[in-house]
Formats: sequence, C-alpha cells, structure tokens
Amino acid sequence: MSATITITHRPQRWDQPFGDSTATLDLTTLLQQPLFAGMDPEEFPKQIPLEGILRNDARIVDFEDGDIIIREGDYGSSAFLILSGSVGVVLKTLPSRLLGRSERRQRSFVDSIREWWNRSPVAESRGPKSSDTGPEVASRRGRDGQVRVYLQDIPRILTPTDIESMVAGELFGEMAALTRSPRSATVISQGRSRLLEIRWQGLRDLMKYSPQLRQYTAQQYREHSLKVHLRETPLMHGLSEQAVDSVAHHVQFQSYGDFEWHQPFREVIRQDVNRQIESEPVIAIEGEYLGGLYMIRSGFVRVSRRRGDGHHTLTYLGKGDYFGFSEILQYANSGSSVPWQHSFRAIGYVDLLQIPTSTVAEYILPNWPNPQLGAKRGRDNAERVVSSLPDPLQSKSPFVAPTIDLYEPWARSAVSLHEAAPEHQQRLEQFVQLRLINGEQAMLIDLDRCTRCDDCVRACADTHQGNPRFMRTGPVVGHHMVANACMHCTDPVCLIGCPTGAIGREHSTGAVQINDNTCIGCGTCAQSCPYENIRMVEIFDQQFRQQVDERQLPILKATKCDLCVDYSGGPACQNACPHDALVRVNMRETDVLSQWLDR
Amino acid sequence: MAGPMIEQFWRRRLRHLTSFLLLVGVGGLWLYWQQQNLGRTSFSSGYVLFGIVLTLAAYRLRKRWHFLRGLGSSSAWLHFHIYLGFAAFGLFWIHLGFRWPMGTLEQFLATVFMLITGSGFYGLYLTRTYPKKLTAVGNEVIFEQIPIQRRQLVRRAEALALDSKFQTEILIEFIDRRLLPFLTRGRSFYYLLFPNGGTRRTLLTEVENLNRYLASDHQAGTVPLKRLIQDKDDLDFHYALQGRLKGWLFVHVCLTGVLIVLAGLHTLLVHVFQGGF
Repeated sequence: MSATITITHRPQRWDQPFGDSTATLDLTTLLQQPLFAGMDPEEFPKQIPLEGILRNDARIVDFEDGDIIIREGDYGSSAFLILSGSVGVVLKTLPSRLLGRSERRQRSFVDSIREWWNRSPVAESRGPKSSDTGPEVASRRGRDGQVRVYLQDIPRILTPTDIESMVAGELFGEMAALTRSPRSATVISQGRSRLLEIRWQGLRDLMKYSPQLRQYTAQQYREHSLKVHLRETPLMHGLSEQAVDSVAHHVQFQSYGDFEWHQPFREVIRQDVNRQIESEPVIAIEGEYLGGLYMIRSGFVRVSRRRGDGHHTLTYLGKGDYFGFSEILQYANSGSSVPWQHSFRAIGYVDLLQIPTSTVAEYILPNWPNPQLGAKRGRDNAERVVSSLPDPLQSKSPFVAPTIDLYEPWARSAVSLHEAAPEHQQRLEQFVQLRLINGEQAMLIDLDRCTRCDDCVRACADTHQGNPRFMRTGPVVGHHMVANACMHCTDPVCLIGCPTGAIGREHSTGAVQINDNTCIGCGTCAQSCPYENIRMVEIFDQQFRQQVDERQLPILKATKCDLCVDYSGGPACQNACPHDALVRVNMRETDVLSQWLDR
Repeated sequence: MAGPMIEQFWRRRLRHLTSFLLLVGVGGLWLYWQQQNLGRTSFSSGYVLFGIVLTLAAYRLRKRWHFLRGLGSSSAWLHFHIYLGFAAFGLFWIHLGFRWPMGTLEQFLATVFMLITGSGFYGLYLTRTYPKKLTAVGNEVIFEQIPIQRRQLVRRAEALALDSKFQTEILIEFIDRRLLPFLTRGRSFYYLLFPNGGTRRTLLTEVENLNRYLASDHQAGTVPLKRLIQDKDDLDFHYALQGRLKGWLFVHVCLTGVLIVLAGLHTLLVHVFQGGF
C-alpha cells in the first residue's frame, strides 16, 4: 500500500519574527546598550541565543513628538527599551477621548425605542459607519507606515509636573507585559524617539537567562509598585513607613506555571482531576516546612488537602489573597514547628510575592490586631521566632498536619466547604478544573429553573444586531450550566496579540469589549479564548449583501458578549429571564456564588 | 464589576404574598364599601378585572420589546403576573356573583377566561417541574436543534452499519429493521402526551438479546447501538417536554388575544344595554 505524504516545514518559534524587517536591527549597536552589554551570551542556550531573541522577538519602532507609545489601562504584551530620544510618563489619567478611546454613553429609553424601530431585518448588518476609524482622535502615519495616535497641544493638556521623563537606556512596560496586567500609565514620545519593542516571549527568555535583567526588573518593581501593593494588603495596615520599606526589601518574587496556560488548556481539562492536580506546579505542600508568607500578585492558586490517595480542593485564591500567615502566627505563639495546613498549587500561571517567615515575625506579627491572640503576644514571640527558625532541610518528611486556627479571609469558605455536602465539593472541584474561576461575569444558568424558553438568547439578539452574542450551551456542573458567553475574565488571555488593540477592558465597568470599528477580523482573540466564547461572524450591509474584500473574501468581525454596557438595567440576558434561572456572577466572589447556587 | 444581589426564594415569596394579600384585602374592602353604599359593584369589579387582564397581557409586550427593560426585569413582571392572575381569578367570581353566566357571549367569555386561568395554572406547574426532569436526562439539547441531532444519530447508525467491525448479519438486520425506523420516525401522539421509557426499554432488551447470536468478538458492537437508542430516546424526551413548555404558552397567549376582544365586546354591550339608574 502506498501512502501519499507531503513534506512540509515544521513550524518553529521564530518563523515569524516580531519585526517586519530584521535589516533595521543593528545587532552590534544593540548589544552595546547598557541593558544587553551586561548579559553574558554564554548563559543563553544554543537554541535560544541572545542574538536570536533580539533579532526575532524585538523590533525597532520610531515615534514622533507627542505620539502615544502605551496607554494607561491597555493590556500590552511587550516592553520598550529607549534607544534614543526620551519619553514621558504621564502621571495623571488622561481623558479617554485624548487617548483614542471611544467614550461610552448609555442609551436612553428614547434611544432604545428609536433603535428598535430602525432595527435592520438583516443580522450582523453594518452601515457605512463601520468603516470609520472610531472616535475623533489626532492620528498620523509613522515612519513605518503604522497609524499612531498622538497628543496635540501637550503644554495645554499637561504641565511639566504631570510628566516624568525617561531617557535612552531605560526600560518600561515590562511589568504589564510579564504579568498580563493593565498598563499603569500612559507614555508619550518627547521629541523624536527610537525604541526597541521586545515582545513578552523574548522578554521572558531574557529574564530567564540574564540575572542582571531579573535584578533590574525586580528593582524597578520594588521601587515603583511593591510598596503600594504591600500597603494595600490588610496585613500591612498600620505598619510604619520604615517597616513597609523593610518588608519590601525582603520580598522575593516567584512565578509558577505556564504563562501561556491557555494553549494546552483543552488537553488539560480532559485529564482526570487527580492527574490534573498532580500536574499543577506546587507552591507549598501540606505537611511540609513553611516557606513564608505568600501574596498573590496575579493568577490563581488551588488550595487542597489530601484525602485518601487523592486531593480535595477546598477553595481557590486570586490576586490580593495571601496564605501562610496562620501557620506563622501559630508558630509564633506556640514556638513549635507548624507545617503547611494545606497544599497550594498554581492553576495555569501565578505570580507570587514571598515574604520570609522571619520578616513576617519581625515586622507584621507585632502589629497583628487580632484581639484573641493579642498584639503583645505576637511582639513577645517575634524575637524568639526569628532566632529559632528550623532548618527547612530537616523538616522535609511529610507528617499529619495538626489543625490550627486559620485567619486568612479565604479560610472560612475553605473550612465550611470541607464540611459541606459532596455535591458542593464536587461543584467547586469542577469549577476549578474547567478554570471557570477566571470569570468575572460568568453566565450561570440554573437548569432546574430554566424552561429552555430562550428568552435570554432572543433578548441578546434583539440588543445586538439580530445575532445573539452567546450560546445556551456549555459545561454543566451539577444542575448549573456555565453558558458559552464571554466571562470577562480576570486573566483575559484573548487580549494578547490583538494587532489593533480593538479588544480591551472597559475602564468604568471592567468589561472586556471589542471595538467593532477597529476590529480587522483576524481571529486572534477567538483562537486565544480558552472557553470558545468569541465568535467570528460574516457581516452584511443593509440590503443583505455580504461584505467582502477585493479578493472576494468575506469581511469578518469578532463578536462576543459586551454585558450590554451601553444599556441601563444590566445584561439583557439576565434581565429577560422570567424564572430567575440566569445570573452573571463573579466566580471570585465565592460567597455570592454560593448564595446563588444554593438559593 | 459589582455582583448581583442574591435574595433567597422563600424570602421573596413571603414578601410578594404579603403584598398580594394586602392588595386583595384593600380591593375587598373597596367592593364591600361600594356595596354598602348601594353602588353597582358589577361595573366597578368589571372595569378593574378588564384593567387587570390588560395588565396581565402587557407582560407579553414587556417580553417582546426589550427597550421596555427599564420597566423592570422579566422575572419581576412574571411574579407580578402570577399574583395578579390569582387576584383576577378571585375577582372574576366576585364579578359573576359566584354564578355561571346565562348569556351566550358571557358564557363564551367566561369559558375563555377559565381556559386562560387553567392554562396559566398548568404553565406554572410545568415551569416549576419540567426543568428538573429535563436536567435529569443529562444531555442538554436546544429545541430547534433536535431535528439536526436526529439526523446526526441516523448518520451514526449508518456509519455503524458500514463499519467492518459490525459486518454481521444479526447487527445489520437489527440496525435496518429496528434501529433506523426508531431513529428516523417521530414519536406517537401518546408519547408526546405521556413521555415514557417503554420503547427504550424494549429496544435495549432486544439489543441485549442479540448477544445470544453473536460471536464474542462481535458482542462489543451492541454497545454503540445501545448508546444510539438512549441518545434518541433522550432527544425525544426533550422534544416532548420542551414542546409542551412552548406549546402551553402559545395557547395561553392566543387565548389572551381572544379574551381581550371578547371582554371589549362585553363591555360595549353592557354599556349599550345598561339602562338608566
């Protein structure tokens, strides 16, 4: 039997370099930049050489005076190194209209009637307006042909104190790129500037193999954001400026899991629960020696306890949560070794701050206001704890963990779940397994109340050009369906890679939105969404003629639930359900979630 | 993003029931006061009843016109609709003086009203019980996609018949004579009225019995057949129950239209023939 085979090139990481042209990159000059000069090319593996990273994961970008380089609130996936010229970090929040964002205006009752009256009989029809570029903004074409939004009349908008300058050799934007968090400030070009834009994949490798860059970014974070983050943590309330400085000095940065967790997601969720748990990167294991206090900077952590030969998920933690405090507190009070009471594993990807036990004992425990234990006891024991910390290597053997009082805010729900009915435990296990905990506005449907009337779907279609933005299908957990509607995730991986920035988070509501005017229909967001909640649709004109390009290929647009942010009264789906069977809920708010599930 | 306010059902029911009883009490007192003052309660109760019927019918408009969402959620309207429906039922009998009317139009009107009330109660029962039955089936099915899914089952069965693993006369005969007719045909009217697992059990038993005539390496071939029978029966069950959930509403809404026309006519005739005081 003969088989026909086609020999093809196996896709490689650098088949598509980040920049359009590698010719513009003068590697010799680049490598002389202070940031790269300190790096040892020998530390990089052969398959990922430093030069390769610079050639393929970076590109030169030129900006004119006033050009907006990054916008506050945007999700970016790259960092910028200033090669020449200078840039200004805008220290105040600029109006959306100046940044090229459309200002959202809620439709009035009269608007709604007018819209209903003028509705098109053709689903997904777009009028001539769809070719507009969006809000009225000042824009121009850069030297590379890309359209750039720029600030006009800067002296009128910003005073000198509103801008902090950064000069050649400085790096910015790396935190947002590495932690998939929104940009914390807008950065504009001051005069002509030339920057090296490094996509996060390259930045990640540079960090991995270059201790200097690791140190540099850690230092940057320590100086600019860490103290603010620490002060926002309830544990640190009441700490003096000096104490916060000392804690910040001792903080260690840790990351677990795969930053691109959404890629293998579909295979992972098909695994058996125990296998899935065991494959998750371990942060701390029940019964083992305590490593300190951990604070979650981004991502999710599974909290579980051993049960027979398996693991029993008790709760999940997210940004702002912390763990390890109760064990340290107990240790301080009893003086005897207290191991981890639970196991903590990274779900997908997690960024952590670790504060060593000794630092917690020295600075945080003395200020612990818990009346039961008393601040005095904490203070009295602090010195003893610091001086008697056991050697972690001696405490490696697992043992049965004693039950201690837990003071972390999440512990209440974890303990109650431990005693809860098996179906409740199973429910939580499935929510975590399917990573539905990522949803900030997940659509839950109580199938025991849903009459399958599809009023929700019709209401959605009526509100969105005759085409519903969700499907009444999806994973079923117990008697609850998590419908295929955009969940407006805490970690919105769909935002990664949008070439035009058409998809982004709404500032006022936090909803993830697609700007229909700037969406080019590339489908990157739809492919990235692990939950398959973004759909590409073909669009039509008012006469039901399909819109195609010059090559007769259909024009596509990405569509998804927009939470009806333009309308008062909340999402149309929830509003239209006659039987209270549907709700949009934040999966992180476990109390609200449980209340709704157990009505 | 702010989370929703979650209210427990019993608390809400208690609140609504209290409001309803208060409303009924006030209405009763008003009618009693009218009667004591020698007023014509049949006119006042009739107008109130007609107003209630129009308000009840307005729920359909609220559901259809989503720009009316500012007037409250659909669920709030439904609660109002249910309690107001109960009130209308009571007022209807007060209006009739607790006697069945004598005139032809009035009898027709009263019959339509009773049918709407009956369909309303039946709908309430269906919407509170059928969802659980549908959930218990396991497979979630969209009503409009049932014909597509049926065709997919037929294709699966045909693919099985062509699969070399099932190339035994016994299995092919069963697929041809028993399975394909079951998969392609709809269910009887009796089944739609009283969905049951009789056919499913019969066919599964028949498949089980086939093992007697199959070589051991072919016996595994009966497993996908059983799966197909179960899937089709689940689809039919969904079709019957979801169809009824949609059907009662259709009847309820159509009768409402008839009722409003008849009630309008009744009002007109009453005024034409009311005579002087």
